[in-house]
Amino acid sequence: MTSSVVFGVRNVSKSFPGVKALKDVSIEIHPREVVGLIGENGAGKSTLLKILSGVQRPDTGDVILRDQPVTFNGVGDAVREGVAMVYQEQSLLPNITVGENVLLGNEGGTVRGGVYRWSELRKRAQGYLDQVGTGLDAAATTESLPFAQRQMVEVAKALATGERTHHEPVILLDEPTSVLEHAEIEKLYEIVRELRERASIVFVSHRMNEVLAVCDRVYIMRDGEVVAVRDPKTVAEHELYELMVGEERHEGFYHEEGQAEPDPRVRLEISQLSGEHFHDISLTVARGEVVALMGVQESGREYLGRALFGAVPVRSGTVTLDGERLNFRTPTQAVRDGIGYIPSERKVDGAVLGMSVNDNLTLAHPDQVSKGPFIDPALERKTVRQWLDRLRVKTPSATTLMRTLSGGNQQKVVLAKWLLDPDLRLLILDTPTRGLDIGAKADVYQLIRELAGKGLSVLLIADTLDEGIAMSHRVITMKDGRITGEFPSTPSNRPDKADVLARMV
Amino acid sequence: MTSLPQAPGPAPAAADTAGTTAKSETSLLRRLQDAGVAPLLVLVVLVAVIGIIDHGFFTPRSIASLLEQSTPLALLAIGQCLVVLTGRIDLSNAALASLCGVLLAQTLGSLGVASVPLVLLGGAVAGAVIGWIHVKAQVPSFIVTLGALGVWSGLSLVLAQANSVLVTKGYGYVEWIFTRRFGIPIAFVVVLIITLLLMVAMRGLPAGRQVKAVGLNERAAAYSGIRTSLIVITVFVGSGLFAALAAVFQISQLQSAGASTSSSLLLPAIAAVIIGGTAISGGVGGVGRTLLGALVISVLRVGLDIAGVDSAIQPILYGLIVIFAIAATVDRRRTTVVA
Amino acid sequence: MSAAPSVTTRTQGVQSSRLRGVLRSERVPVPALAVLALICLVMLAVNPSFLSLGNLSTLAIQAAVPAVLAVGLTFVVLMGGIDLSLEGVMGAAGMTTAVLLLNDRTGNNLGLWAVLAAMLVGAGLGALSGLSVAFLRVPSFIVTIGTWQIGLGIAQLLFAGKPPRIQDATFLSFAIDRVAGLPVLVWTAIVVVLIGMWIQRYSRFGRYAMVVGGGEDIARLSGIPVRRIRVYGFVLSGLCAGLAGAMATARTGVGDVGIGTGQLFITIAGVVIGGTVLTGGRGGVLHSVVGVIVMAALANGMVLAGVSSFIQQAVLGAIVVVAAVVTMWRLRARLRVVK
Repeated sequence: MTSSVVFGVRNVSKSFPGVKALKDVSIEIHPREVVGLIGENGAGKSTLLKILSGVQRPDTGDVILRDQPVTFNGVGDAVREGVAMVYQEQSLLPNITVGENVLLGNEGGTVRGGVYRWSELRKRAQGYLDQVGTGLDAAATTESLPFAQRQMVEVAKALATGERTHHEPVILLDEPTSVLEHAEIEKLYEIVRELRERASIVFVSHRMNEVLAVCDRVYIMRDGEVVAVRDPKTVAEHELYELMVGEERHEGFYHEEGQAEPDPRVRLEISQLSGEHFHDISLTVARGEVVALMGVQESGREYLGRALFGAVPVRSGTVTLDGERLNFRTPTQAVRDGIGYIPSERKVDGAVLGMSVNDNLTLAHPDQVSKGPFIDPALERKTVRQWLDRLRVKTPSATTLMRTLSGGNQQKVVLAKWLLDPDLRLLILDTPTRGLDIGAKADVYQLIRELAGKGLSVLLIADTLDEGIAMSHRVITMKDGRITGEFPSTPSNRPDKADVLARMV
Repeated sequence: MTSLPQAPGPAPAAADTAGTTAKSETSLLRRLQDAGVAPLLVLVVLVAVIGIIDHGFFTPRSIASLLEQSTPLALLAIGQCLVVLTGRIDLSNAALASLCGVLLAQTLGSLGVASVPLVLLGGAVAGAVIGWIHVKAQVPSFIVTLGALGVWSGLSLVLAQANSVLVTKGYGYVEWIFTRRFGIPIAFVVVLIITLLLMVAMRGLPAGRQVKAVGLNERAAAYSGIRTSLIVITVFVGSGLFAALAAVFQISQLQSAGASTSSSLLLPAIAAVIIGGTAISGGVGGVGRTLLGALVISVLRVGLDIAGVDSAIQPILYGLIVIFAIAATVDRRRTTVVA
Repeated sequence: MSAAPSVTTRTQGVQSSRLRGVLRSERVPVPALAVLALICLVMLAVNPSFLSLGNLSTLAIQAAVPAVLAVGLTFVVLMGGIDLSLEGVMGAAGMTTAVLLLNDRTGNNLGLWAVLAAMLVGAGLGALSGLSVAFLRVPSFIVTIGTWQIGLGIAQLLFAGKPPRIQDATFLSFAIDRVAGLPVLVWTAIVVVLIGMWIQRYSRFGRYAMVVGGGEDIARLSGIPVRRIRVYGFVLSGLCAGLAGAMATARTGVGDVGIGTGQLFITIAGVVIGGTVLTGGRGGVLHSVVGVIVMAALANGMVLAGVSSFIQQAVLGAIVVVAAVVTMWRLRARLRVVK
């Protein structure tokens, strides 16, 4: 007997240019159950969540709500139907009261004729807050609450949103525990178990033990597909790991034959570096070595990368590059010392979309195309053309706007920007292939190999386990801001994906 | 990881879109503006219309007069353009011009020709101070320059005491600016040369591109190693310098300076920048276009006088022009919260 | 339950922590009050007549107009915008009042309906600003510079060369007649402030204004009509400026284009000092009004200390900058982009 599907997707696919994010995915949530969703980066979890919460629409397939196909034209529609999402990056306004946040846009009868009836609002909000936790006061200012309590308020808000309709709400929890401490996590489990009495819940997490602790069923995703569904009570943890990582191996994709032995000389030395999101980091990168930095969302690895580039403050510790002590206040100094950085948000931080390909390429090192203080147009044209050819960037001409290029080509230009510097010593790459099509990815991998072969040190904040393991000489895992493991990685002896993953989650 | 979804509409999709903007999406207006041709067209149309109404407009003398009189406005507009290219605004440049004018008027007699470079230096330093405060304290430029406007106005009043300072001795040092050789106004030629030099500099020096990069995407510029703070301070120095230069020209033109001589040029100068095709959000535009924009505004002013329109209409017109010119050309591809 | 002695100490403990809570809370504009106290202390030394009943009454009158302005401006600033048009709107509204009341130039005699008309003029200009910002997506600092000039232009048109002298006795009496020791104007300001505080606390518009300032994306996702709220904010600001223009005209008894001169700095500085941060989402009407009182006290103190009005203007300009720097200092961060 099949129970009714209170929420889910059926045969849903979603593609972005060059990338198939979801391939024929179907999941079902039955009434009053907690369904878990796990998978590593790039597995498709966040795209699926976006479809479930109404942010995106699937290319094919249906979203099912209470056994009927339904179309969400935006988050507003989903919210009106009683599907509420608890966001990882908080959606609460710090400057208003907790009660107002809980009922934001959903005040109903507590605001009559445009006038707020505070005692009613407080009472109604307090009702939701009490369901979720003790000590939460609807009258408190939201920013006075510690981070963890704010997460609870988010859940209360989702509850209030979910109860807009007469039906039982559906609540989507995206990595709800990533900012919580142990006692609070336990509390969240209690809340989830209690909520189960009157709501259906989707629980997305990287942390295996959490998913096993609260979920009734777990879907495992990999490479845009649902590969399995398991019952946490009967499945073994290591089987889940294996399902997550799979057997995929792309022959030649990572150009592993190009992996050369790194120089024994150490180039980058980090010693006990601490900042706001990372603690006590010590690692080295040799000349010509590619070190992959693996970690999940809150691991702090992106912040480490940014700190090495001077974009984020450092509290203590030292960094030396080829023996010189570095002291970065701004990226300008890092660039002058021969460091390049490719940010994860290409469109926002990496490329100036409104400028031409030419101008983007010469943005960081205009001195390489200048004679004296002035830019030499002929030299510039030649240099730009060389790099565009070398990296096989597809663009009508060097003067077209960056905006018109595909993501892969944009990323190549951003990469080339750093390569103009003949004295480039260290390249920090933050998920450089995310969102690129296969061909572009392969090109980028080959380029990294070549550069490493010529002595460039690379710190690769890898998008997927496959990428990190196959591309690097060493894999370093981070979790909660600290280094948790280190694995040597040679073409003949790659570390086991499940082992690496275990250190990350 | 999910972050808050952008509201549907102009926000870019979450994933990578190979966005080739279809020709139909780029309106005619936008394409004209991108090409920098719009102000020229407007100028031609305006000149034609006025010429039809008043045939006397086309005499060499009246054209020379127009060009000459547009120079202080043009100089202020060019300085403003530099600031606007980085996405900022300088509300104080006209007031600074008044202050420099008063200072110059009072010192031309005693210090002689040396007072000119001194005042120029003073303008540059004033701009540097404002730029530094804005950058260091991370306070919006409109508020820093609004305060500066008050300070410069107040100081002008203190020095000039609500009177106009007449320049008698020493006027000869600047008098030549507002003369004509073979009927061609020197003032305009000077401004034209300055503009051309600046255009060459902005095209040929890396800093020129860096100014636009800061306006278009300051974070990406910083992540490329560009010293964004220095760029921003530099454009404010430029604004101050051009304000001082405008003061020199006004003294040459009027032989006197008062506390509010140049102050009424603030909005027209901004209008000139906008009409010229420099986006208020920065990154797009240039000083050449701004000069054209200044000419458009000057022709407009002359045209309104010829048509006998009440002078009170002018500020209303400039206000509406600024608002609607920006509205017509706002780039919806760049999505930021507009408050 | 504890024995009696510990109860007293416990209540004392509770009281002191409550006091600390109040001091740290954002409900009470503590820094502004501290500055006010400082000014009073300084003036005690410089010119004790500052604290005389007569002067305090003058101070109240001087603070009345900027207080009313601040009420409207607060809502715009809470949403992250700015309204620079206050002086122009006051000019247009003031002139409207002057020509519609019994005066020596036109034949109108509309009595107090003239004040309503003035407010509507203000609301109209505010609507122009608000619609341009919300729907045309033109930044508020530039739109309101435009409406500032438009307002001045309208005032100039109404001025038509000769200042109309108001002859309506009732209207003029508002500035002179006292009720319970304070002129009607001051009571008007008090009422407006109380209404403003009520709007902020109890009305949907007021709460949503806070929300928009706190995070526009979140607001939109929650279904809040952000654009409409923005327009209402500017309309309210225009309404207040209109009323302020009428109030100021009651004091002078004459229609004056420049009736609002100098008010912008006092009001903005007051709003900022009071704790309504320019980035939005913080502060409120009470904060702004306390800040305005501080600024009025400062201006008043400067007069009593014999400071020339010219220097006063410079000082006010400098204070705007200093207040903004101080209140925004803790928001600084590396690579943070502020334009």
